[in-house]
Amino acid sequence: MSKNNKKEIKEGIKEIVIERLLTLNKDSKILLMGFDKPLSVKDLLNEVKKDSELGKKIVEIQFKYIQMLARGEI
Amino acid sequence: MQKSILLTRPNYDMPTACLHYFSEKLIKSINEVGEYKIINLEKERATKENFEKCLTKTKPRLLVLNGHGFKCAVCGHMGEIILHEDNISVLGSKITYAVACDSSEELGEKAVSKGKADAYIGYEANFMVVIDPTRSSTPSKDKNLKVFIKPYMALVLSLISGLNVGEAVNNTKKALKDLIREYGVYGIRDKYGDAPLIRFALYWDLTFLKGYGDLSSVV
Repeated sequence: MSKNNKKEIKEGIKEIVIERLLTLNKDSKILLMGFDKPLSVKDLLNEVKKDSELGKKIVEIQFKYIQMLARGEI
Repeated sequence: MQKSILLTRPNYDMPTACLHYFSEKLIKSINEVGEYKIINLEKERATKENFEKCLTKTKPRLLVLNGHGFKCAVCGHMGEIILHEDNISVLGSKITYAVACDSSEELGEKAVSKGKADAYIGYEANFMVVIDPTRSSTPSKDKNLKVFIKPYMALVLSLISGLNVGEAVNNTKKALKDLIREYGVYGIRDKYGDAPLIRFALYWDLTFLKGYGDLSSVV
């Protein structure tokens, strides 16, 4: 697989995760140990969009989660 | 001789208040079992000095560390580092459960290789919970937060019921999976639409929970 293809797939996955996050209640909040304040769904979206370390983890785990749901594992 | 369990329980901001509340429930359950003495390093007592002193004096078999942390450290009161590579040997021959950010990513391996811990259980990424923003200043009234108490407690209660570290981790993962299923059919009771995020947070914790060292160790 070429570098360009890999990049396209990565961007595609990121878009899927962003779409998924947009379906969540934007006022819902999470607490992450290590962060002083709660993060809203909007904050999570921003982390994903700016490719921060947390954003990358969110993409990785959300995508795994979507795949698991699609396979009907849970 | 009565076995003891040491808990660090800082409480100075929202995330530590949440873990402080979880650990209060845990202490109540451990006391109901009745076989263990609790060493409770709570709030301003959760310092490095007290932590090391108590470990030397009381020699607990199990440590439950709640609080902030980062890849190579666990913090106590007001973010004071209480466990780091420099004093990792205090975990020697012990089982540690750290609910402290992503501390297990580096500290887990070091606890076993350098600190000679029997086992170290932690999260490879930040421990995640969902809160109800309208109740966030009172953890005991937050229904979203309560979902995460069960898996938090499952690990320690599995250990003190005689299961080994590997079995306790699997039990906790099962509790997380059961809750993900439960919240998948939660629709009617999900008045505020938080269930999808709760399911994701449970899946996040499920993915990052990991045990290091001798998984056949028992308390």
